[in-house]
Amino acid sequence: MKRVVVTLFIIAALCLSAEGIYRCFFYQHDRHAFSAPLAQMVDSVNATGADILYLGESSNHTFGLDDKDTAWISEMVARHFPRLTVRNMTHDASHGEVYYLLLRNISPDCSISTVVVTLNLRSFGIEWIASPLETVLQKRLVMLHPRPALLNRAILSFKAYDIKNVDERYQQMDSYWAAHPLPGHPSVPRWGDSLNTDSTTMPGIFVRNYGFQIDTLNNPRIRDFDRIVALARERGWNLVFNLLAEDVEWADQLVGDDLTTLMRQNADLIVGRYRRMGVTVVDNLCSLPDSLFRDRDWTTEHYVQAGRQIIADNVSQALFKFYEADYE
Amino acid sequence: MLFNSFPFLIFFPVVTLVYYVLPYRWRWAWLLAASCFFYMWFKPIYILILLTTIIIDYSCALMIERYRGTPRKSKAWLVASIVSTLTVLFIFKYQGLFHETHIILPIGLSFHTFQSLSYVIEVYRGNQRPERHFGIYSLYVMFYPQLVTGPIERPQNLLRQLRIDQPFERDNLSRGIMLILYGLFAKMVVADNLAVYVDAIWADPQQYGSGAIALGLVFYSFQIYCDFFGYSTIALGCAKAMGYDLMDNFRAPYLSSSIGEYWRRWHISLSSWFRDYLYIPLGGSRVGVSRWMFNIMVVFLLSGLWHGANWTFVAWGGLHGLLLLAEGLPKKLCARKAQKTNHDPQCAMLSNQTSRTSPNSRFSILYIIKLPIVFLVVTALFAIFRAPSFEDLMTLFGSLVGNVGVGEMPTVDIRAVVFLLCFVVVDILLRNSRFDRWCIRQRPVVRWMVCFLLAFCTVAFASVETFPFIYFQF
Repeated sequence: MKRVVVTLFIIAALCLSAEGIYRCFFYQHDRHAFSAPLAQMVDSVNATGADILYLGESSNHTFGLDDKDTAWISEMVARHFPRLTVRNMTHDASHGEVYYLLLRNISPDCSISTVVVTLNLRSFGIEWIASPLETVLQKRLVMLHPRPALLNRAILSFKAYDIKNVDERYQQMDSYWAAHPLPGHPSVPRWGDSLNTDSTTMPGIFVRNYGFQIDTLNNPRIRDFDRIVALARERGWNLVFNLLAEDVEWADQLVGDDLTTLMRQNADLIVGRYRRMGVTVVDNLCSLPDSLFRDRDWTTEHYVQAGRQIIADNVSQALFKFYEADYE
Repeated sequence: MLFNSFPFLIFFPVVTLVYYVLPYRWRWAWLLAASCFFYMWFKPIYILILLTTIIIDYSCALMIERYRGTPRKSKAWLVASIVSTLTVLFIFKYQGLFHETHIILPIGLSFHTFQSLSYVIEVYRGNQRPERHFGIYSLYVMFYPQLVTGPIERPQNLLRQLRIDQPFERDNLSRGIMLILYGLFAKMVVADNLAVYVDAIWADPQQYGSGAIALGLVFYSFQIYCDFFGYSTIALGCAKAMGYDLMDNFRAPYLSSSIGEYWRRWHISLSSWFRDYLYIPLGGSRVGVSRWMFNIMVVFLLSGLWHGANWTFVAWGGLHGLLLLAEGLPKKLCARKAQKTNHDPQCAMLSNQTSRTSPNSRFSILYIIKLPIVFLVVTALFAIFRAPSFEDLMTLFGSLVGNVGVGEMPTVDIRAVVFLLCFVVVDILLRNSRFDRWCIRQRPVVRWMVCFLLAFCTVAFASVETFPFIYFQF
């Protein structure tokens, strides 16, 4: 028995030493190598701080081909507050978990007063939760998790994160649709085929992307945004959720009001939930007409210049209460 | 289940612990259940194929024993077993040679098929009593450490051990863990880090210069070695932790001074299988020159084919066969001449030369000259093995010859090279031993330090890209 205890003690001591060695000599290199560009964004914000920190996905930086002004939404917000430092952390296909981990990695000593987090209705649906893009994203997130550094590296080494190939992701989606028999269209092309889609498949794409009901107990995004709310309270940040505009007009034309009602219900659920928690929620869901959306082969939140400006103005209006003197 | 995955890091200690806690009479059942679970982790339905092979060979062996007095009948049962087992292999593995197929190859099919066949053949030869306990026989085929990519065991070794009560011995457990750590290091740190470079070269060889491609070929030789060696070593370690000794699958193959020696050191369990069950029954080397040449070529062509339904594997095996013929033919012809003339000074010289380069006389000048030549030949042939098709192979060789002084150089991870060098040094130092045998002789502090270093390097420096074990596809 004594031998076992001594052995366990030695193993524990070796684990602690290993963690120390790894953290001292290798962690920063690995964090930058495997979590790029997320780790760099966090370090950059940690180094300078910000009055307003905007977290977004591709909707922030995607612009229309005819746009004269290609400014990002976060830059357009910054124009309303020229005396404030507005920084952004933007990564394609981001969702609540990414935002939470980015914010979790912001140093408590870093001076930030307001955080604006993009809230994308589609990201609550299975098509985004099980998207094939998720494997790469999950790999990049591993080193950002608040765990011992060597454990994070072990998770990467042994591929113990949410690693699935495209077929497995599609299976995950299919089993969701089998268990939640909303009018899913199984024949609708997947992400990989999206460039070949024609207008006849668009109704199916809309149904797949918005035809769900948010289950607040089990939806992973609800959990992530709840954690963001708790973190913001802990750090004393003003928190703003920016519910992005969806192409409700086109959804109504293609599918009808069954779907748009569902979209509205889901949005109301999210808006209501987080307003009750004290978060400032900007409800942009129906704020843009179909003409201000860029993509025609998939449903996205990519807006042309005027669309981005409306979203930025709405967010700035919400920020007005925190920075009345700085608003222009 | 993959050896280099988190689930296995839980599976292994649980299986080993429960194995020792259980009384001897229940251990086979536990190991069989664990092995089924291990296999079904990949694709559960394929266990039915394994079960089919097990039932066929178990029954055929019993029938062979029953009709031992009637050679024709026992031979008929042997043939029935071989044909049906190989039919299963053909259906799932070789249809692709003749037409496009979408059947997914059950993992480890070639390995457990050959292990089953060795049992039936040994029973037929009278070297092995048929196993009447269906559970123990199933465990012989399905024993989880070597189920997926070997070593391909013989019944005289494994089946005998499965019948013995293995008491707990601390040394066995320590040696098992050492082997597992060393195997994980070889696979995850050395092989997988090299794979990043190798895959980049093969993805678009025309883009790279000759030097980069040559380096890629050398790296692939070490990648496949460390990959397969890693799996085999982990398998040995898992078995050793429970007191079982599996056969060694590798013995520093790149320290060979001839192709013949290389094949005695590379994938030993497969090459000895072909030797025992094909080469020797065909007459081996105790036949005329032309028959011997035929035997060698048959064995090597089939050995190539065993690796998969692709003509590149057949070509790889065939070329190895030709090289072996080129190596052995002068000796064979001299022996024939000596038989006629009783003495020939040239032949005496040749045989002296052969003995000087035998594995025991290391570091002679001749050995030092031959070693890199053999390594480069093996490396060149591995390009055929690695090539998805002959067209890809030609593109690669074309770029190798044509891109002298032009083309890019992919980034070489310096850490991968350092770990490769460490591995090579250990391979040289342990060429006639095994890692666990060396390690267990050291003082406890050294043992702990070595294990700590291996574990730390595996966790901290393993490749983050996913590279399945290369031999899984066979």
